[in-house]
Amino acid sequence: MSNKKLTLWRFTAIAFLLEFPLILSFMWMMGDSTEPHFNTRQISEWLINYQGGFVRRGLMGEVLFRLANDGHLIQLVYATVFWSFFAYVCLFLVLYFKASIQNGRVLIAALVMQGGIFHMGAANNFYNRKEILFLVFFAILSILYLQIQASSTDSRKRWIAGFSLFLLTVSPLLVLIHEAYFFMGFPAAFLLLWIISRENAELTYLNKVLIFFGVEILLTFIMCTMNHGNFFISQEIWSSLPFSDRLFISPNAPYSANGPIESIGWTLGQHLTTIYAIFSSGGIFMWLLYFLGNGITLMYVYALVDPAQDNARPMKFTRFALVGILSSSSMFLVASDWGRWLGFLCSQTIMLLFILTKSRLARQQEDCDIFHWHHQLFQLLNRPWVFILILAYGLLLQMPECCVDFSHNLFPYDDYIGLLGKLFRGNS
Amino acid sequence: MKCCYLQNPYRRVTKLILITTVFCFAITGCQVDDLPTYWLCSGVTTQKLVSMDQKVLESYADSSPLMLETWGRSIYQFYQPTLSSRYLRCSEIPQGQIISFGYPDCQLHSVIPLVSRGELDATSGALLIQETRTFGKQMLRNEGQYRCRKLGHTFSFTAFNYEQ
Repeated sequence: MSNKKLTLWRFTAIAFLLEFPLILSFMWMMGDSTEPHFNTRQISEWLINYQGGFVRRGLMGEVLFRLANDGHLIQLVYATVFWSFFAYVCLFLVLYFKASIQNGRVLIAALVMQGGIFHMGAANNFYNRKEILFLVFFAILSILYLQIQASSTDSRKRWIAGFSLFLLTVSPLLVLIHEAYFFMGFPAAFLLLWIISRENAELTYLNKVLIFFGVEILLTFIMCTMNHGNFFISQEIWSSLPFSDRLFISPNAPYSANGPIESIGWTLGQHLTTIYAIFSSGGIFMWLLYFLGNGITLMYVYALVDPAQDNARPMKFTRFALVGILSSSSMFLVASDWGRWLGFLCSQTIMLLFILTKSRLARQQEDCDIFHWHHQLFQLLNRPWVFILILAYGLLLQMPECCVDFSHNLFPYDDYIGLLGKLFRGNS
Repeated sequence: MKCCYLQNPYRRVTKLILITTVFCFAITGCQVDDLPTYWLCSGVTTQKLVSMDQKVLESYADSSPLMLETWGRSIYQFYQPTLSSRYLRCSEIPQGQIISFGYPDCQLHSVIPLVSRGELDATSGALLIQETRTFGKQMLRNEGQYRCRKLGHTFSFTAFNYEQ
């Protein structure tokens, strides 16, 4: 196949992988269907508010509650979810181009990865949870970082100051939106700030910003855990919602707190048994498959973007990539929605890999043997058959958010074919 | 500077001791009888809003399956939106006897406006859960009647989705 044809095929594939999920998401979220646009348990998570008093996870729901002004909240949730996803897709593309990755295979692998943009829209999953806000935030931080790298010395100081202010202002709000940010997004953001502080050592105030950032997030997290919530707060939150919204979410029990609103009152033991359920349900074997598949996808992307790939001597790029992914992995020990954590972790890691390609610190020569070994292992995956394997893995399977069911792991092509058939036959 | 952590013999020994300790702790903790036990239940739950003079103002019904998890003195209920998700076991469990549980505790009267009682016949699988909650001048009555089968210490989401 000639280069021109290959480029055309690649462009078509990328365009499809980007537009298809966005179009689907728009149809689902902004359409006028009377059915719930996504799982009602997921909808209720957005509605946790402060009407029962200050409680973890309540900020976003309180904002929606105030904006709705006694009106319906559900439509606001749909709009929030769709526009957050749209923002993330746009920011991801901006990041890809600003980092000058210029490799279609990298973009395709990142898009079809389980929990990535394609699966978000195609399965109407992952992007309708609060961690989409974490991804949007990290994408903005990443773009700001690239802007810092591309700036002249004078303007760089202003960009760094703006970055720090943005980070310190928004991060605690994300903890108040969902305390899982402490485990998921905070480590990578901290790493990014640390890299900036080392690359700009003359700006000594950045050391203080680092300490303040860590303390600020830790204290906010502690405040959330101390206001964990209980049965009565969950019922107060549920009762504060318009009756029509409660009836919509829980038509058979509109007076009982539903889903994540109810789980505000869970004990630690309840949460721990859900992690045990990953093993007792046998789902661990499917999760190992998804870890392997997404792991190979990440290593492939790494192999293609690694600035040292043509050089026999690896750079600190490997070290920072590993630190970034490992430091953000603790959520797997905290809660059982492993699909959500894996999707988020891999999406965030891909953005981290993009920006590390422009990092002066990451381009320094690595002198630690253990990272040499990792670098050689990852480079082994830079093969055409690995790309085909990644495509097959991404396009044949559909990772769930949690509660893996052995009979529902294939991508639902039959549903889409049936839908197309209805459209061609002119049925609604 | 070489990154020599793994080459340091003292660190290697420390790491080995730590791994061995965690492993031994883990395997001594895993006694089968201490593991959660699962029950998959099918039936109907009703929710009724009642006035103080016992007039039924609103009534709802749900036939979603329910999963019960017994672990130590705790009993957890999953997936049934009407009922509470957490109970305290009130009885010991001789073979073939009734497992009774309640929330917030095992007292018949509660100082808080919620009383929840349940009984599971471990032999026949019959489950009855009744809850009463007062708010304002109204009362909420939830009742679930189920037939359960014991799944043991493992379960499958496939079976649960099939039941649904």
